[in-house]
Amino acid sequence: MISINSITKRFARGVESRLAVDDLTFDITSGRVTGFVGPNGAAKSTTMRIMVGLTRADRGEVRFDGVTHRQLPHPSRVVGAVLDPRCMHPGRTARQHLRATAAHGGIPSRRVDEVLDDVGLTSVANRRAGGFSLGMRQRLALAGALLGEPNVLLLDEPSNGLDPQGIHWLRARLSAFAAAGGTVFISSHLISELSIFADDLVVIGGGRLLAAESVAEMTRRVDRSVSVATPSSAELLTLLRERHIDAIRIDDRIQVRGASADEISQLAHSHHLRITELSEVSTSLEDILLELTRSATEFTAA
Amino acid sequence: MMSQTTTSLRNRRNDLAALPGALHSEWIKAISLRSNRALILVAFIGGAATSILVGTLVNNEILYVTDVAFYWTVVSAMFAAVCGVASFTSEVQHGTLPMLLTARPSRWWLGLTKLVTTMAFGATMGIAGVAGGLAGAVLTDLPSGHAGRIPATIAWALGNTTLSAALGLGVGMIVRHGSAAISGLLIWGLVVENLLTVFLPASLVRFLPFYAGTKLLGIESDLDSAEAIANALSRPQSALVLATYAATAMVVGAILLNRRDVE
Repeated sequence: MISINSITKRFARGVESRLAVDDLTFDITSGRVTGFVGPNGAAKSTTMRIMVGLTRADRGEVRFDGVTHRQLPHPSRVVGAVLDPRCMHPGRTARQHLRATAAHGGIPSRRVDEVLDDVGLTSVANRRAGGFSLGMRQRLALAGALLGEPNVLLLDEPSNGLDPQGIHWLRARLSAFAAAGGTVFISSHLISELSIFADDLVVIGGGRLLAAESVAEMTRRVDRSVSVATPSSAELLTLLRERHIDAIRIDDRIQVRGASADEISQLAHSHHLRITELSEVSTSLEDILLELTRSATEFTAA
Repeated sequence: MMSQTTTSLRNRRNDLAALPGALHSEWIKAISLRSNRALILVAFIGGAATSILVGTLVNNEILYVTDVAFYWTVVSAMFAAVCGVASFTSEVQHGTLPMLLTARPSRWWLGLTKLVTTMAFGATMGIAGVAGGLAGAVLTDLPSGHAGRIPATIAWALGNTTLSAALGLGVGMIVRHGSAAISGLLIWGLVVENLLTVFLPASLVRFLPFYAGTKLLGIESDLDSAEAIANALSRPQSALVLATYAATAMVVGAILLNRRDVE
C-alpha cells in the first residue's frame, strides 16, 4: 500500500509562486494497477517525483508500506521508477547502462541479462542507447526499473513512443506484475488507454484530487441514453412521460433516459408510431475526464 | 518476483555499505565511454608533442626534462577540470541523475562518490600527461636536470590535476548546465586569470586558482617579475589555495544538490 498524505508543493520563480500540488491525498492498493490521469500541467509528474524524493513536498508525505522513500534501506529493491524514458547516456550500450544501474543499486549483475530478456532487448544489448528509438528507450528504462525486482512500479507516461505491439506488451507485462502482487502506479493523460488494463483510477487537475475510485465505479458514471427520430414526436413524448420515462425533445429528436432502444421500439410499434431513427448514445470515460477536469485544465485552445 | 518488504529503515551503515557499489557503478560509466579513453590518449599525446616541440624548437636557452615534461600539465589540469564539470552535468543533461537518486536517495553520498571518481580520473589524466611529457622530453634528448626532483614534481602535478578535477566537479554541481559551466571555467582559466595576473598585484595573483595550480609544478619562468618571485607561495601553500577553491566549490555544490529539486 502506498499512502499519499496531504502533499502540497508550491514552486517559486522570482517573486511569483504557483501552487502545483494542492493537499493531495489518496492511497494506491497493492496487487492492482492504478492509473494516474489528468490533463497536461495537472502535476502528475511532480506528484510522482515527490513520491520518490526527487522533488521535496512543502507539506505532507508519501509512505510505502509505512516507510518514506528516503527511509528505505534498498530503494531500488522496493520501488522501480521510470520518470523519463531518456534517462540514459547515448554513448553507453544497453548492457553497460544496466550494469552501472545495477551496481549503483547494489543489485547482482546477473539481473542485467534477465531484465534485457524480459523487455525484449537482448538482441540489441551491445548497441549504444543513442541509436535507440523512443520505444526501445522506454523498454530499456523499464528494464532499469525492474532490475531490483521491486514490488512497486512508478511509470510516468510509459507508452509514449511505443508502437501498438509495444503498448500491448506493456499492458500485459504490467498486468502480470500486478497479478503477482506488485503495485503499479502509471500516469497518462489518456483515460481510455488506462481504462483498458487499470483496476483503479486517480484523477487530478490543477494539482487537486478530483476522483479516486475503481475503473468499474467510474464506468458506472457513464451516461447512457437513446436518441429517437420520429414524425410523431409529440405522441411519443406523451407516451414516454405517462410511463415516467425521462424524455426531452432536442431539436428534431427525442432523448430518452431510463428505457432501452428495444423498449422504445416496442412502445412505438404498439401505438403505430413510425420511427425513422433509433440509436443508443453514451458518454465515454474521456467525456467524464473532461467534465471532471474542465475547471482545472491549464492549457486549452481558444 | 517481489524480493523485499519494507521492515527496516535506512541508516548510515546502509549508505556506507552502498559506497563500493556506487564506486563500481561510476567505474563502469567511466570506462564505457569512448570519449574518456580518447581524453586520456589526448593527454598522453599532448604531453609528448609539447615536449618534442619545445625541445626541438627552443634553442636560445637550456631546457631540462624536469621542466619541459610538466609544461603540458597546465593543459591537463584544465582538461581535468572540464571532465570534472562533465562528470556531473552529463548526469543532469542525460536525465540519469533522477535515476541515481531514486536508487540511492542520499545526496551527500552521491557527491562523495562523484568526488572520489572525478579525482581518480583527474589523477589518471595527470599521469597520462606527465608520462607523455617525460617520454617526449627523453626522446628529444634533453638534459635531465635535477632528476631527483622528478618524483616530487610528478606528485605535485598529479595534485594539480586531481584538485582541478574536484574544482570542476564543484562548479558543475553549482551550475548544472554543462556548456555554461565548461565555457565559464575555460574563460576564467584561459582569459580572466591571465588578465588578472597583469593587472592585480602579485600578492593577490598568487591566490588565483589556476595560477596556484601552475605554481605546484615548480616551473621557473623568465617572464616572472621580481615582485611575483618575491610574493610566490611555496608548493604546499599553493596546493592549499587550490584545495580551498576545490573544497569550497564542492561544499557549495553538495549543499545545492541536497537542497534543490531534481528535474
